[in-house]
Amino acid sequence: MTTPASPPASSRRPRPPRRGGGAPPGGRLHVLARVLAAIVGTYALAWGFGALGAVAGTWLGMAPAEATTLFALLALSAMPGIALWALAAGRVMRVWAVLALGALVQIALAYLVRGAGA
Amino acid sequence: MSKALRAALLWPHTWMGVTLGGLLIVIFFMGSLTVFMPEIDRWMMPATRVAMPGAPVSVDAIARPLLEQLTAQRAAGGATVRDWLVEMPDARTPVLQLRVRTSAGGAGMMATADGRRLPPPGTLGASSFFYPLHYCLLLRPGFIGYWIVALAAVAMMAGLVSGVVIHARIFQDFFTFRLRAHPQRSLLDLHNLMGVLALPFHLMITFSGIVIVLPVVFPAGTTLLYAGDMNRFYAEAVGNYDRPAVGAAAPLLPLDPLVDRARRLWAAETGRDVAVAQVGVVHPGDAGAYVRITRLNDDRVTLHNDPLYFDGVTGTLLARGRPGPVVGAQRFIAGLHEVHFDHWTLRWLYFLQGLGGCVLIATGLLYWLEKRRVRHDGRGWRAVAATACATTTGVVLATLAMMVANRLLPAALPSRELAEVAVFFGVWIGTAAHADLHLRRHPDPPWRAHAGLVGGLALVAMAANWITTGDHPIHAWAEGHGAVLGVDGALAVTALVAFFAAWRLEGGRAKARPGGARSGQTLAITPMEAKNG
Repeated sequence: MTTPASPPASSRRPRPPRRGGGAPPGGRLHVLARVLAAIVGTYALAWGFGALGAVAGTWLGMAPAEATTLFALLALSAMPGIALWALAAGRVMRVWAVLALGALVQIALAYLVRGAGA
Repeated sequence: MSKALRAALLWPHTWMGVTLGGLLIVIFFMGSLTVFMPEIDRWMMPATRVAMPGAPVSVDAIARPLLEQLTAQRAAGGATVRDWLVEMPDARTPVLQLRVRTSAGGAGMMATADGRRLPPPGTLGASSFFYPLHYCLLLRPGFIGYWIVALAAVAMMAGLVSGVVIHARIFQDFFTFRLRAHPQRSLLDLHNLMGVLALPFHLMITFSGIVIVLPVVFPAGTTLLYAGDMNRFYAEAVGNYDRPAVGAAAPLLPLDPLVDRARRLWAAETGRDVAVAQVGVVHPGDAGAYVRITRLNDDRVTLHNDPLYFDGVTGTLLARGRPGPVVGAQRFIAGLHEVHFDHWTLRWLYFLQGLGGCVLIATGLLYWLEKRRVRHDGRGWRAVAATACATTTGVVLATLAMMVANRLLPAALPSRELAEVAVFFGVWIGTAAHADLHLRRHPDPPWRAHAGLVGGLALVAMAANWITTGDHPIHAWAEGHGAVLGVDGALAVTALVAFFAAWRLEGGRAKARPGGARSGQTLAITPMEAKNG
């Protein structure tokens, strides 16, 4: 199952959709923040995972091309789920915090591990 | 699954569909056509409707003289030859395709299995137009088209996953299709039915499609481990062999014995008679020449073509491209997408489920349009309605118009292949403009006019093929031109379905108008309410 691990909006009771089923919650800026999180944030988080996995896999003895491909495939499988979580989860600020922090930490670690290995 | 989660996922599902649905329909439609790419190529390139050679074609006797001709033409001013490539004929593409690359540019040609050089086809055909439109929208600079298609594909996967979550009563609704119900209700039924029926295929085809271009659109590992050098990554991943030219001349060995050795090697390993797909020579005539022979994958799923590298002067087996287990899995997933294996039932299932993807997305768009009609009766609504029309009937019209142009444009027309492309895009833009103008004065896109035109153009394309090539069904049957019969048959079915749709739309309008109740006003079913009800 690729759905988000935790059901969103656990702290607050979800508001019923204001304007019928398919309307996005909040104003335009809010929607923009969501969409950017779903596209850019998801990609950055997945990119970090792919990079860190490739470097760590190589460090652990995998062939570089194998590790690169393995973690690219895993990152791709996770992307739709992460994007949906970014769109549906309770607070958009928390979404951005998780995505940005996750991406930065993984990318930083990836460069550190590569530096240590080389 | 909780009600809150379903509610939270509804708007992403809706808005991904509304913003990227049109693009995804085009990608799915062109991908479906690509399943039968060789057959459409035979239809669009009548000179290649030749019989498949009975015996394996000799590379030395047939291909090499033609390659030397091409080289002499290209390298007349003292340019050096980089490589030769021969695509061997197979059952679906019964001609040889030859390519030469020199420091002064490349040249290519097609030839029959008995060595007759064919004139330039004057068309891009399915292989150089519908296919690249499918995977990169013909936007190659900076791989921009690959990125757009991959983004749409990830949205498609997210749309499928969120659709399953939203749509909780999967099993029950699988048996629900209220064709005679209110149009809005039957649109949603069809959307749900198609989504569930073809869900495994759609997940597989979307995922595997991105997997093919993954190193391009997801260069994470390659950035860190290969300094962003994608070619070096590819070469290492699949085990490519390369070496530079020496600069001293040396005669190239006969190639047929090397082809025989490759086939014997594959036969010993697989226990089957494996056909050769390509024979390439790098640095021909140089002491550093090497020969690359790949296999046809008509007997297995993977795209890995098992290249064998022979020394072009001594004949030693230099290397063998062998990917590791993960890259092997990646090649397998890519092969799932590209259906090179010889299985007609599966090819038709891919084709039909691909079109099912178009129906899935189009019914979703139409459902949205019906539901939002009252609320958004403005410019935004009209833009989505016109887009929905241009990416469904519009893209079919453009395709059919291109096929008609392919048969009717004079062979001597300069840049004939570009004229065909101009017809495609001209008609496509025309359908969008027509839909927009129509929507200014009518509540619905011009479905009936478009359906009638689709039927008419399909018949014209079929008739044009019979008249300009003489390949009417009896002739095609007698000559064994199955590809032509198949494409003509598909055109006939298209015409029937389109005329039937046009007729039904006429009847539907006559019945619905007197009541005056426009859909969307009478019933405001949201998917949530529908499920609870």
